[in-house]
Amino acid sequence: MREYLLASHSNMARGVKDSLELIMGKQENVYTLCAYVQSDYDLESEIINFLKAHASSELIVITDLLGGSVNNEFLKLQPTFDYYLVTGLNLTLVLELVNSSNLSAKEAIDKAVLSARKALLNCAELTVSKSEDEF
Amino acid sequence: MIKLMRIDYRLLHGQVAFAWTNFLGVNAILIANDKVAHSNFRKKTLSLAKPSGVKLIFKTVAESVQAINSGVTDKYKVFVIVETVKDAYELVKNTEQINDINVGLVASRPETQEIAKSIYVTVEEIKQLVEVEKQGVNVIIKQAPNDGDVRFSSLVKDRG
Repeated sequence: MREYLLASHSNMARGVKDSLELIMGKQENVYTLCAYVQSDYDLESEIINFLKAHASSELIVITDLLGGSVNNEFLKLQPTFDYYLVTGLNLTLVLELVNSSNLSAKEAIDKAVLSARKALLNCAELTVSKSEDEF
Repeated sequence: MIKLMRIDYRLLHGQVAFAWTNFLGVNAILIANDKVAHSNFRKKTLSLAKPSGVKLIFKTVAESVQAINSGVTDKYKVFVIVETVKDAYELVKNTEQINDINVGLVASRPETQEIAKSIYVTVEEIKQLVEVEKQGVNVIIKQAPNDGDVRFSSLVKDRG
């Protein structure tokens, strides 16, 4: 089964999962890693423990911030463990990912990143096509 | 064919657009609602939640009945969404293709009772849903697709 790890500085990941579950219902295969919530915190060993425990599943990691320490740690560990790494955590991205479990991980990630990019915009620039669908 | 009709006063929103559409594997969503069919603004905002690869069609309840009976919906897998029990009842009574009703969100109004989380119905609405259930339509209370099925009649045995 494909698994997802949402990883963030502090509690964003937990919040995104909470919103995801309001929309999609309980998600057994979505995990969260909320870094630096405790003061004495070892990010690297927490990540390694998670990756070891989930080594047998196909894993997609989604981090909050490109260049942040959480993403950097996952970049660093990528040669050692097997997982996909995506950054720019947001609700659209995660919704699209979990709804694309019928696609390969690579295709699902491409599709989700594209939709999430399209969904990031100033609403003043919103355009909706005028043509209406019909049967 | 009509895969499912959902009663949801918020019509097309995150849960419906993502979770239900994906779960049902439909390729057309029909919003059967008189007010929306006449409001370009509401059509525009609802279209923002439109999932890719799915047609989103707005019609009044009467036009929806007409479309379903004319056979134009037959070649699609259609997810019908209505706002109220009254509209759902109209559609079921005037067509022969709706076998499953999902009661999702029904708004609280005067003289309604909450029979399940976020589902408020009047005595009249309970009668209407029990009636269609007796005619063989499955009336199921369920928020998200992976929640358990609860039969409408099992909640209203002693009411109404």
